[in-house]
Amino acid sequence: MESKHVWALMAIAIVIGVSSGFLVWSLTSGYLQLYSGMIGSIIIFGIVFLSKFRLKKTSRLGRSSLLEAANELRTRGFWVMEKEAHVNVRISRWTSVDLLEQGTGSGRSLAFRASAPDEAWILVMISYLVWVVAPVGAVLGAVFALYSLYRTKRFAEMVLMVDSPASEIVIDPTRAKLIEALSEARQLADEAMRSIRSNHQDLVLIMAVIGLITGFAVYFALFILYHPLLDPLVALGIGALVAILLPLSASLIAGQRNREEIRQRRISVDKLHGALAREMSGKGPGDGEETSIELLFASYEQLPDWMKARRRAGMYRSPGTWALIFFMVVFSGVWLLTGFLLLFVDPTPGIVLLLISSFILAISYRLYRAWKRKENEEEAGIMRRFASRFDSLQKAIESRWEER
Amino acid sequence: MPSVAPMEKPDLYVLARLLERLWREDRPMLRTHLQVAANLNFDVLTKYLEWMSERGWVEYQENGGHQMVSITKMGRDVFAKLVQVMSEVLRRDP
Repeated sequence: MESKHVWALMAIAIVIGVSSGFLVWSLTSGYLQLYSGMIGSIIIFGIVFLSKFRLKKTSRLGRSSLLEAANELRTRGFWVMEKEAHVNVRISRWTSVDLLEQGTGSGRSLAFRASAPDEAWILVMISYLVWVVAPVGAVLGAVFALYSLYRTKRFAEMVLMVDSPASEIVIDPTRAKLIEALSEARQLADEAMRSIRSNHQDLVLIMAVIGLITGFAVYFALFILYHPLLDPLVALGIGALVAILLPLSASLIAGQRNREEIRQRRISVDKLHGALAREMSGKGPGDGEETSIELLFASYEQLPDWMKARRRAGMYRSPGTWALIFFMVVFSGVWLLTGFLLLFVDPTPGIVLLLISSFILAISYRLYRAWKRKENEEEAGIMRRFASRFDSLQKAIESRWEER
Repeated sequence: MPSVAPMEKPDLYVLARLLERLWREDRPMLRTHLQVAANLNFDVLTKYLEWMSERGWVEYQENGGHQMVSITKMGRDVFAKLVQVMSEVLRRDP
């Protein structure tokens, strides 16, 4: 079994486990509407983000058509990532689409699958938090999923249902290579910038979870310790204040620290974007302006920094793994708190809950360590490959110097 | 060409900048224009042009008392190779 299947199985098990827990709780507490909202959203998410939709009216077929479409979109300034089985295109900040081939009864056809950039998944996770405390979160998630499906369908039809390539302009091969390299460099720079921004969001999200749990803990503690001296509404207000202040202060502190770094990265992205647009329109740089090859050299020099930024961004790079860790920590945190409070009322289930939540927390930590080790090894490998490619290719160029 | 001390080993980055400026021009370029465009001082530019001319990457032409410089077929090939190099270096998936 491949590792990704193991992850998928674990994720499914957790979703089923959590859902079952909610079912039992909702049946016994009477809050059935919360559970049905959750199930409804999971079904909509499954349909929207796992299903492939075939495009019927297109004569473009095969992997080459996908690659052709990828190149067209790249030259039009879209963020395109070619994967083994599909081409991922970012349509907007919140939506992306996978363009792929699909087997049908009459052969092969082109299809699309709604996807979402990693920032969008973070938004979904936040909406899940809302979901836990109010059914409205489920509605937000479902609206987001349906909107993604609508946008991706329109985009895929626009891109893949054209019978011939959009552009008939013949581009000089060297210029085409320049465009390709600039596009690749821009994606790397953009990814580095988003990684830094993502670090900020990760921290805020983690603090939101800690804030929520701490807020509940403060509320319960005040309610139990000062009952009936303290008005329950005042205790709730203090708890809510703690829950809001923690992520807010973390956001302000992290924002100040990251602002300058994001600004620097944005300059690189903007320069590469400008050069890309210039090359696509067949123009050259002005006097004293940085040339395309200069920007590519500068990009190479910044690669270690970009890679470092990527390495530091956990949730952005591996949203699946982080979602798993996130949910495990959220629910074990809630159970830990519940177990602790139960100790004062009924110690036996309290101890059981404490043991289970500690066990899940320990597994989350092991998962995090394993992920971190794998990421570090991968990044080191990428950097080694970049360096060795540059060395060998530079030697190939230098060998021409000797030819007189 | 004014005589300047020969160059030991050129900087790939400067070579690339000059080749790109020349590659973009359809016609021979004024040396002074190239100097301004590439933002290099006269001595450095002269050394690099001399070095590239020895290898047949650029050639000189006189036009109304002005020295013009243009890229040759070989120079275009070298620039294409350089772009290829950078494109491969920056490709994430080997």
